[in-house]
Amino acid sequence: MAKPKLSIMDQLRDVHLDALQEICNIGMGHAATALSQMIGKTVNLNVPKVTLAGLDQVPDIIGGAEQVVVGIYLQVWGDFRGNLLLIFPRDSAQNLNALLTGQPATSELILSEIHASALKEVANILAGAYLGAMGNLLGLSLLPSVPSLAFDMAGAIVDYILIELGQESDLTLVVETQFFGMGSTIRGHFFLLPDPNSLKLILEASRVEPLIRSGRD
Amino acid sequence: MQTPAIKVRIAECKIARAPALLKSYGLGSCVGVALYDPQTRIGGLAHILLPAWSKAKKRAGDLPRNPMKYADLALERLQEHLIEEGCAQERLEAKIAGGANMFSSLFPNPSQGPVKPTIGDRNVRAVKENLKRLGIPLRGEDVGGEEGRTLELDTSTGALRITTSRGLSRVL
Repeated sequence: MAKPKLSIMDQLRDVHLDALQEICNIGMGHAATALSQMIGKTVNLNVPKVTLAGLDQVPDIIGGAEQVVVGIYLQVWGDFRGNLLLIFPRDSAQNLNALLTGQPATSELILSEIHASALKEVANILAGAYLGAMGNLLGLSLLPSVPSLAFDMAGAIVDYILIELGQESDLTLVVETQFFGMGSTIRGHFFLLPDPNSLKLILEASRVEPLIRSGRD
Repeated sequence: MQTPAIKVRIAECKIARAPALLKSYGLGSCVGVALYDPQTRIGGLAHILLPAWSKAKKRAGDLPRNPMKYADLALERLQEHLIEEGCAQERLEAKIAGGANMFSSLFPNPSQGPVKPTIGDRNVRAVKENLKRLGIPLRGEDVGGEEGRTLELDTSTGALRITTSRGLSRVL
C-alpha cells in the first residue's frame, strides 16, 4: 500500500501556530473594537487559542455535539479561501439579542427574523474587521461572504465545514477566541478554518520559516 | 436498567451486540448508517462525512488513513466486520438518517448554478448507491431537511431513534 502523502497540516509546528496566533490576535482586536462601537459597550477578548485538532474533536471544542447553539457561517473569499464560524451558546445569543434589539427572546427554540438578522449583522462586523486587519498585516485581500445562520446542535452546524476540510485532511486548524463582557453574560467563539492551501499562503505571507525545508534538517 | 450508550463520533464506525445503544450526536450534512441483523441482534453504526474516496487512488491501491470518512469504504468495512462477528450477509438491513442542509440560505454562487446538490444530498445518494451495490436493503430513512439529528440504534430491537434540537423524536 502506498504511504499516505503528508498534508500541510502534518507539517505545521509550534512556530507556525505561534505566528497564526499573533496574526489572529491582531485581527480579533479590531473585531472587538468594531463590536463595542456597534453596541456602545466594552467588549473584552481573550488571547486566541490556535489548535490543530482532529476533525472528530471539533464538536467537543465548541461545547459538545448536542449543545444547541447559534452558528453564523461566512466564507472567506479573495486571496485565500477559508471558513469563518461564529458560535454563540443559546443563552448568550439571547442576551446579545436583547442588548441589540431591545426585544427579549420570544421562544427558547426559534429565533425571530429580527434577532437572526441582528446576529448576522454582528457576524458581518466582526468578520469584516477581522479579515480587514489580517489582510492589512499580510498584504492580502480577504473578503467575507454574506453570512448564513443556523440555530441547532453544534455538531450539525460544524459538520458542513468539516466535510469541506475532510476532503484534504484528517486535521483542522481551529482559531478560537472568546469574547465576554457587554454588561451581561455573553460568550462567543470565533473560529477560523483556513483551507489547507490557503494556510500555506498565510504562513508564507507572515514570513515564518518555510514548511518544507530543503537540504539540512 | 439504562443500557449504556456507545458514542460513535464523526468518521467513526462501531458495532455492538444486544443489549447496547449506539449513538451519534448532532449530524448535519453527515449521514448515519445503521446496519442490523435481527437474528444475531448485532448492529453497527457509521457516521459518514463524505460520499466517496477518490476512484483513481482506489485503483492505485492508495487508501486513506481513515476509510470510515467515506461512504463507499465505510459501508464495505462495516458489512465485513458484521459478517466477521457472525451476522449473515442476507439478513443485514439498513436504516439511514442525516444529510441535512444546515445553512439553507447559503450564498448563491452563480458560477456553479442554482441547482447544485448540497453535500448532504450527495452523501445520501452515495450511501444509497453503496447499499445497493453491497446488496443491503434499505428499511427506513429520515434524510434531508434543515435540521440536525441525533441518532440512536438500539441493538435489542434494531430501532433507530432520531431526535432533533427542537425535541422532536421519531423511530425508524
